[in-house]
Amino acid sequence: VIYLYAIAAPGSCLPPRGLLAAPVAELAHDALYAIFSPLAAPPPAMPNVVWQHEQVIEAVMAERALLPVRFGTLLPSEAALRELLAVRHARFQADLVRIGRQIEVGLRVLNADETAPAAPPAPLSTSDTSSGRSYMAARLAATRAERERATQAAILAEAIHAPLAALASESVQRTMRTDKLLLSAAYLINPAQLAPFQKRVAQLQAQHPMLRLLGTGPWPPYSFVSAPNADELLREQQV
Amino acid sequence: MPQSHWNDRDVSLLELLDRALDKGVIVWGDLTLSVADVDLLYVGVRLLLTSVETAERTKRMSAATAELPSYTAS
Repeated sequence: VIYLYAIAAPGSCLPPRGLLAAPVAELAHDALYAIFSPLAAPPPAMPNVVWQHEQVIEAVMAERALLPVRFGTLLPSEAALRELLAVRHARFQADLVRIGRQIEVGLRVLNADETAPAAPPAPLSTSDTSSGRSYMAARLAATRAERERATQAAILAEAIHAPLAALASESVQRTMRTDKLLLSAAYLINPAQLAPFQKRVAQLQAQHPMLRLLGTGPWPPYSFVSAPNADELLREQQV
Repeated sequence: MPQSHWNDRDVSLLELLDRALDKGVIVWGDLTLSVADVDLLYVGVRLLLTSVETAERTKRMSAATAELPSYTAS
């Protein structure tokens, strides 16, 4: 099978070995390059294998714009790979132009204050069941308190996110917010902006000692490749 | 005291898995023969990432690479 790592712009940089020490090759179609390894069998889904996938992508990314492919993507043949490049040519090309050599950085903001997220437990099912009115009043108060906490969390998350998004050309919030996890976001930035970005994160950390800001990166732009539209999917399935 | 973890390899592993297993170019109709294993691994990652103890666990998860493969048991 063909194991696919990335779709890349033209360039010369290829690591010699990839997943499970297999050779890394590239296949060109109209200025798009698929970076792949021929494998005898599908690779195991293990964290160290995912690191190998990442290392190939990072090695290519050192010199070329690329779109990282999701781990575990297999194609039956080089012909199928060429078809993929042809069918999705416009989207891959547009994504490569839009993203260019930019990198992704990740940020998770955790509420480190152990007391704050302990929501005041709503006294729903206890003493006051005798009175429907007081039950409803307690419920309403609990709902209001919950809504107030959610609003405060959203304001706090935005206070972290907005100044960082200002340093990025694009940003996405990657998961739902919870009491513990205030923000999980990815930012697409120019490599020259990495140091200023990290400095800004450190400043925000100093301003918010009750939070823990976990920054990671630089990553390949996993979170910024666009999804194919319905028309492209249809054409792809007809191939 | 800055606490950003730009070089924390354990946090990075979780972040990598969260990206490489869930984001990036998706090829529809590909073989993805290992999809069941990948899903299992990813479910494990999501549990770690969203668990209430995530903050504490990521701090002391030096055994992350030893811990995670258990989610891939087929």
